[in-house]
Amino acid sequence: MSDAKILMEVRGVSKSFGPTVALKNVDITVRAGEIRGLIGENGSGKSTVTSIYAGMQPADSGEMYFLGERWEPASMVDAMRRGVGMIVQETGTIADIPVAENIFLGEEDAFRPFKTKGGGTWGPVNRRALLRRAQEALDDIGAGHIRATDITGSLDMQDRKLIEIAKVWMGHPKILVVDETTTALSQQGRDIIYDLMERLASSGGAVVFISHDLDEIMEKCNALTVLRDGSIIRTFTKEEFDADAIRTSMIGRELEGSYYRDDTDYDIPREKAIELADVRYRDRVRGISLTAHRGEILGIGGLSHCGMHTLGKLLFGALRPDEGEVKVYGRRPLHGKGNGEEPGKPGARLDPDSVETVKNERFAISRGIGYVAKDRDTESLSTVTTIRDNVAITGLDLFKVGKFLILSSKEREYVETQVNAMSTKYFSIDQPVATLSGGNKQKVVFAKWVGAGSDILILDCPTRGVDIGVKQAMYQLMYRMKKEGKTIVMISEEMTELMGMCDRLLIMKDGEITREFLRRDGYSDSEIIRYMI
Amino acid sequence: MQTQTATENMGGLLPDAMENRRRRAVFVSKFINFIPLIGLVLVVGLYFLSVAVTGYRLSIQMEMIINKIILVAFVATGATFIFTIGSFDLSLGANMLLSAVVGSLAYRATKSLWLMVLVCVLVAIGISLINYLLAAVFHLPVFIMTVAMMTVLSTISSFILGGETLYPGFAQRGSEDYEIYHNMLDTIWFRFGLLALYVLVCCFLFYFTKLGRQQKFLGGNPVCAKLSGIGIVKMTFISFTIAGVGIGLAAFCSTLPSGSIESATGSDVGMNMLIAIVFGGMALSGGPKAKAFAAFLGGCTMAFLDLFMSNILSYAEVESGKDAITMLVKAILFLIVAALLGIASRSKQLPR
Repeated sequence: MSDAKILMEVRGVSKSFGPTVALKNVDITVRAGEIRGLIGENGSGKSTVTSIYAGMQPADSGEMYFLGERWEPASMVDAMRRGVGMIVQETGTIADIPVAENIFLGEEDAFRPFKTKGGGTWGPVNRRALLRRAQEALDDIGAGHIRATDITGSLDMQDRKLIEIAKVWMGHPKILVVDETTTALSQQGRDIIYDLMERLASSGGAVVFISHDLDEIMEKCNALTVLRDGSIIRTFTKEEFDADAIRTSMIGRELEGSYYRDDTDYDIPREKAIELADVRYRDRVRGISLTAHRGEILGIGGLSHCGMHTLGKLLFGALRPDEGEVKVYGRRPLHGKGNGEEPGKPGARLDPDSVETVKNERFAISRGIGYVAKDRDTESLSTVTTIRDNVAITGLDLFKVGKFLILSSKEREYVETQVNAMSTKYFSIDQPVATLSGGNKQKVVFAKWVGAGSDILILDCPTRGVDIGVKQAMYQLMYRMKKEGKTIVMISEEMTELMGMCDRLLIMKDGEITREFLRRDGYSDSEIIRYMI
Repeated sequence: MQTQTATENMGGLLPDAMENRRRRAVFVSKFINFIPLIGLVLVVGLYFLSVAVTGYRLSIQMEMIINKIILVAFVATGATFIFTIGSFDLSLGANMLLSAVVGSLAYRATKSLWLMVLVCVLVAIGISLINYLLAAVFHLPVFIMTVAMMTVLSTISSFILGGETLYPGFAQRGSEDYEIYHNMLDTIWFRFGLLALYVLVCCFLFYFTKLGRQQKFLGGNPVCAKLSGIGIVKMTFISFTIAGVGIGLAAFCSTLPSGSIESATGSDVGMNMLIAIVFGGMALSGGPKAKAFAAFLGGCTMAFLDLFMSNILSYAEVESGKDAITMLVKAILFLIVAALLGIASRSKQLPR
């Protein structure tokens, strides 16, 4: 590999965002045929350096080269036209337009029938040709189940990500940047992207692959560069790959304590917390009954389309079941609404014998249920809003003075306590959440719900896009909450974390629960996968 | 998990350099907040300069300025709540006209000023809630719906007025309200006091209760707001109701000094309201940067600007088109400030 042609070169690149220094004098060289992994904690600069190379934003200083030529792309479209494509971490499609229009966004001129003297085109867009080409692009990457005519917003997150992949792949990139894309994909989606990465590398191109999944990155990459606090720490060759050494490079210290919980003792607690009674919702959830108990981590796993994400929304009341009901136990304030003893408030007196139907998300929150959504930037956070507002919004009743008075000083104290408890990296609670890295955003989401005193937490892919340090902290938090008698419903596409953390594991397929596994019996990968597929 | 201070959290840079960056960023964000106030001071300064140069009587002009502020700030302060949640209403001026017409008819029929206030406010709230129903419950496109409502309300007002000027017939000697009208209601300080009370109540609701926090959050991301337990329909209802109260009070106060209503009354209120909100430093897109006080601040800026323009155009002996020139200047400044607010609210983001 060392004598292969250099495709991508970054020399001394630095970048700051306001007071945050994202990159400090970074050098990276990637050669033809290489799949280079980039790994580091959230906020380490992985996405920043690749986004600069892919034309999303300029560097403050430094030089870049592509195929030996000076590289200064004007935009992502410019970079893509010249051979550098990037699949971004969060959703990069427009919801209200058809799939085909997303794939050819900014490229519609190619479908106009008449040529101008200057080499451009004019006239109406040939929609038939556009749809045909879009469908070919989808078929080419193995996503033929998506129709080019579908409205993008009607598709789930995985299919929307596949549209982006098709769009980038269609431009025949020489360098493909894959930025934490696989976290949004099921195994089927991941296989598609792995296949494309290998096809590109074997045809003389190169891939820069960003992921927090160490196993995945070690399996797929020829080399691995570790970033920390905006600097390159070390580049590992394939022969040097060692999980512990890589982790230590990433976080600058050895990971202390267990990653997952290491106990296996588990008896089904008697006290019910939340229950689904024969719930149906369209064709996504088909007559599911389940109960989560106090002091339990209940896992729900399966393939991305199995209905588990819909199940999370049903538990939280964000979707109303077509049939059946969601019940919450023992959460009614003893003296009725507005008595200052809302669930979550220290010393709140609740009726232990109450059984209530969860009507909507407002009711759920009033009964101490919290929900961490999979789509963090749309459903869990208002990214244009400050850390303060995002964390405070679910805890207003906890720090109000008297019946309704909200004081800024009390709010600040509350928010700072919550975000500091999560070790969030920030410079002011009044900075917009959009300026935080993915992991720190997720910490803000946890601060928002844990701070509100949620006794029942529904976590949908809670560690998506977060680094191992943050993951470990979240696992520890979940375990601590379990020990405090709280209920965690953990929905995840990562079987290892479900097996590592859950007392009980329900596997879903096609909207139904196919099997229940218990921690005390031990979990078997092959057995679980058998019931997923 | 251990507790960290803000400075420790930023890691990776020398503490001094990091602290300097942090201070600079905080200073810039605070300075941006003061720009509307600086703008007001500048315009007030220019106005007094124009008075000094032209020699016009300050006392008369101040009354005109305060009347302008009252009219615009009532409507715009209420409208702030609508804009904050990410919605808008272009029919506020037409609503004010119809409320004033119906309120005046009620006065003519009963000779009761208190009933007139009540009718003005109730009609304005009623119309505002029709807009709320159409927008939030029936999900009609807000822009088209409010433009249509503006036409409908103006047409109804014109139909009632029948091309005539409506005189409620205030302060007839011997009428029950004569003393109240002369000694209290027809004083500028009463109307300004009423405005101050309304603005203070709005600011209290906005800055010191859950309502303001929830409204700003809703304007920032309605999907997340819903999943954070904020009732979107309820918030929209409250916003349109508060706006309705402001419009009703504006309708009442607009009738008092002139004692008459015609179909042109309030025709420029819609545009002036938008200008006031923007001059006050609030982006019309609402959300987290919304400010309840912006409308009052911007209303003051706009009123002083109007009189400043009037003074200098008179001094320059411009005979015709003075209103058009003033509106042109305001529109240009509106566009500049709106663009600057747009740039300021586009915060730098990490590529995530």
